[in-house]
Amino acid sequence: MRELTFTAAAREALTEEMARDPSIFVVGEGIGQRGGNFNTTSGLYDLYGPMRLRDTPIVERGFIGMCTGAAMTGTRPIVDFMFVDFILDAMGELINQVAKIQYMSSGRLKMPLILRGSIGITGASATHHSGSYFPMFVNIPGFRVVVPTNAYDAKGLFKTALRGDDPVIFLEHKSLLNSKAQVPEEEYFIPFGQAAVVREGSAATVVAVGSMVRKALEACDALAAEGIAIEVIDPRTLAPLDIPTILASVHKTGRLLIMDETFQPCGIGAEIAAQVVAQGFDDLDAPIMRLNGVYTPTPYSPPLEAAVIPNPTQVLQAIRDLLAE
Amino acid sequence: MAVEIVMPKLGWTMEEGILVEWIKQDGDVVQPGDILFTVESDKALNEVESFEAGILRIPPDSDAVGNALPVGALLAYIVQPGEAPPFETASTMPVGSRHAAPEFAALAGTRQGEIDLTRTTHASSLQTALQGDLPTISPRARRVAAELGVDWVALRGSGRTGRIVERDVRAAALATSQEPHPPTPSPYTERESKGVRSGLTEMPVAQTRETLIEGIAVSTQPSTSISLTTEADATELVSLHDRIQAAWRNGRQPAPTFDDLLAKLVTEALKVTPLLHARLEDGTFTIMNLGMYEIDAFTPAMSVSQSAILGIGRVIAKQIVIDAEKERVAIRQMMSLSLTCDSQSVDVESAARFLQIVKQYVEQPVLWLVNLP
Repeated sequence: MRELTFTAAAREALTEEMARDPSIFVVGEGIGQRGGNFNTTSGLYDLYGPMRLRDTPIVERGFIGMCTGAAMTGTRPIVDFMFVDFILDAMGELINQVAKIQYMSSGRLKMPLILRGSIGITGASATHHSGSYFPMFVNIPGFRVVVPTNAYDAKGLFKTALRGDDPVIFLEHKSLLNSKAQVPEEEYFIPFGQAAVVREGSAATVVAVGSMVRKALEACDALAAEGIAIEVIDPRTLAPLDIPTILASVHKTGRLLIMDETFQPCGIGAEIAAQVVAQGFDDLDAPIMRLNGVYTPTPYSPPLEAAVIPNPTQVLQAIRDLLAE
Repeated sequence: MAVEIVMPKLGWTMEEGILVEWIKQDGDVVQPGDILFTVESDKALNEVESFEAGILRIPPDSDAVGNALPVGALLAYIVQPGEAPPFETASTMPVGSRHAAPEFAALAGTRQGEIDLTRTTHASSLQTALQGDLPTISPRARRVAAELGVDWVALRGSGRTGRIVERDVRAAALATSQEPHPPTPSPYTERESKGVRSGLTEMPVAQTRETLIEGIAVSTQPSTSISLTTEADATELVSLHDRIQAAWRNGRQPAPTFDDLLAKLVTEALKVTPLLHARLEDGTFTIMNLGMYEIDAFTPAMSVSQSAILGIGRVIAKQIVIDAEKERVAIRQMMSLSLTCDSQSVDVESAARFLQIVKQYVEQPVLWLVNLP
């Protein structure tokens, strides 16, 4: 089977859906002829032209507001934020209008607005270009929050996002954009709220989010050489969150570690831990553990940047600590 | 909050240790990873690290050093700056003797409702003693203990803080299941009750018991015999026996016993390894089963007139790895097989091949039912 990069797979989903549905258009900075800072739209300008690939000035709150109105009229805008950090300038529109309009209109208005952007700490991007923020969005009723971790999932989840009627925050970790995976030619969709068990095991469960999936799998390879089989779950979407798959795994293993590069307080790990304690208390053989990035603004200096995200040694040690509990 | 420093469990079987010396002293500031004290257990000297940061507080009346103390015995506290250790704030039981706390002993010896009210001034320390003596247990281990009927209060935990975890409960359940049971209706006892000499199943050409004893008595040169031992999974054979017993209700003759089945399958095995029954005409092969005496395995003594004797150990449920790659284990009925042969008439390779066939026949009775080697 052919292999595609994460970015190419997501772009293929976008290309297919734009061909199928003329109401889809993309808005953002540098997404027209330039093809997007991360090549999210490269080639699409030639296919679909300036009306459907709209370059904007640097005014997030303005074009988010316009896209919110456009979605209410029945079109399907995609806002490409380049770096999702820039979404923060439009939080008023997003939380008060985008997330609530279907509720406020008793479902008469739809909000098929896709908000996509890169996340994550890598490549000395510094503190204004390294955020992930998904815990904030998971906290708001109304948003779908999608964090794909490979090319196959990126395409299948993006296709699902482009067919739905809800606002979707589609977050692409910068360290994964050039990672390759097998992507079939034929069309497929990955439903929201369906976690992937990316590695089966019995000694402990690791729920890994975003870039941590790959790091968890590498650690599990090392542990497998010692005869220790760890189960790794990639939630793929954080809202909705597939708790049943996590509970089933904890029922098997009795031990749970949640790995997430983003900050620990009120994070997705806290949410998963609370739900597992509430619903799977009698399955737990050890305290639920978390491994997160350091709770600090992201440094620019590459050595300091490397120090604030979990490194392979810490990932391995976190699993060993869990097993020793 | 004061963190208790206790005698750690440094090995699976460790139950007590000798506190050899304090490396850190009362009042010392300690960091995680600092060596607090040394412990001698199982003839090894171990350094015990602190998991906590704070100030080490050793009770002035502690007599812990040099004494053997049970795992979990309270030795000291780590407190935060400005915090008083419990032994300075309240009456507590002597450090180092948690398991022999007089209040606790008094309670244990008192029937419910008869607690001496004069002791209520010690209520807080009594509480401490009681809580201290009840081990912590994970929710999962508690659930599994209920499912398996394991009384976990007496267990020692292998979790990091001494917490009882699932594996401790399962190990306890397994240990209980392997304790010897009183004789239950089995093929062996059934034979015994009918006056049949138990333990020995003889081939149709068997000699008398006297000859056998005589033969063993003159079997003087150990160098002339070789012994081979293996273990067979008898689950299928036990199941076959049970089914025969169940299906035999209307038979006039007694149902074939487990020993009968063994005799049958050994006979079939002898047919495919001619070297072993070269001298079959003389009663040259004996099966000896000591399973009902709870013998796991033994090396049977061989009569000089014989080629070989097969010793059968007891059938017992064991946890067996059935798929190492997938880390799967199962409870199987296991049985040891020991073959002693005359090395002059039987070569070791033939003997090994024969024992292998017996093992296969035990494990897959269908093989000898259809005479397949």
